[in-house]
Amino acid sequence: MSSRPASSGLLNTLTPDEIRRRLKGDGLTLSVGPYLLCIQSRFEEIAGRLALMYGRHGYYDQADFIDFRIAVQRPQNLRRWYKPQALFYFDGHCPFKPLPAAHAYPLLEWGLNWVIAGQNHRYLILHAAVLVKNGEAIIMPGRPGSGKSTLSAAMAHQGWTLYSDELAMIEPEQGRVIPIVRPVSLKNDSIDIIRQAYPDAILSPPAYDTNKGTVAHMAAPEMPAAGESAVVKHIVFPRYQGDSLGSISPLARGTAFLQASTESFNYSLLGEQGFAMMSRLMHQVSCYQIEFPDLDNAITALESIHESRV
Amino acid sequence: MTFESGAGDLTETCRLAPGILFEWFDNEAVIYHQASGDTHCLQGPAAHLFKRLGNGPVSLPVLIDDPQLALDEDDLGNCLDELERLHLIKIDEPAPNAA
Repeated sequence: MSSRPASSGLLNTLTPDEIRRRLKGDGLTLSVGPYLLCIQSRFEEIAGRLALMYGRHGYYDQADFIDFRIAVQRPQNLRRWYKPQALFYFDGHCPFKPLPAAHAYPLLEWGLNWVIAGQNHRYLILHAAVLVKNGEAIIMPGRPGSGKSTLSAAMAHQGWTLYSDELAMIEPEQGRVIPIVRPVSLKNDSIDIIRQAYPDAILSPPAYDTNKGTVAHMAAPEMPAAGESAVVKHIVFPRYQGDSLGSISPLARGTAFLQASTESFNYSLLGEQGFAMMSRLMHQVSCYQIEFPDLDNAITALESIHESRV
Repeated sequence: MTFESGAGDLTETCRLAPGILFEWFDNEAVIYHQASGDTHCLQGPAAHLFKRLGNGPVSLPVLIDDPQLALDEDDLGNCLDELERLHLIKIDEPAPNAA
């Protein structure tokens, strides 16, 4: 994966017709973080949204090895036409129940989360956002609703490089975090908050009435350099609390270790190796929890932490 | 586990259970139990007691007299109870003919 040849070009250099042709044919091969994905779909909306969201990702005309083969297709039954549905496939298997066809693109993103988090254990993977500035990363683990995706979207427009809003991937050799840049998943009120605060943000059309409410995706404003990784300096557990004044509290690293391990997709599966990797990570970071009433407050807090002014 | 003062009880020796890995962070011990895959985080006196046992088996009188731990018998008993409940330590009974 690390010695991958150069891509054939950026996705935004392919015409919409060509993207559509590949998706409907043998698949569109895209570089996403350390992985090569081959995506197939006959949904028109997926072709359009991939072009919008992954425009600056590399595509491949040919690849010797594909990490994940995924597809989003219509069922082969009545629901192809009547109240149409979408199905997610991974290596030909269909692990989830169908969703309405209008949710085909969110289904692709959610399925991809599941594939990456569950199928590759070379990395220690935390359910966390990762933002980088000056080569130093802040990892923000958080449950749904903690505000980490909204915060990630905002920080990505304020001088930080987005590595992920969902998956922190820690490599085993040196404990560095590697980027796996994908669209930020915004939900409900966050969509308008980001749209109003950052009019230049590239957002997908919203998908309504998903099991997470209204969902829209935001393209990463910039891409990390090829082969880039970052040293992890801080782990911050964010919590959105609308009626709070905002606070920054140091967190003991042992306690943070335990919290981070519960937010990891594969800590337990990695066993002793997971313990060793998490230990090394914790020895190199300082840990905090922040409570924030709005984005400005949170970003000010995170800048203070990054500049070691706390 | 509970114990009472008295020469017979205090000859017991405490040691870490087999298959325990741990890391010390500030005043907390994070412990990985190889057999179960469980991870624990100990704080306060239990953490310091665990760290002390990480250096090797120790008899109860030595633990009680350890000025760095500064635990009385009740506190020591409570900490040992907690560590034993988590299967992190073993307490070796003295041999029957040892006196």
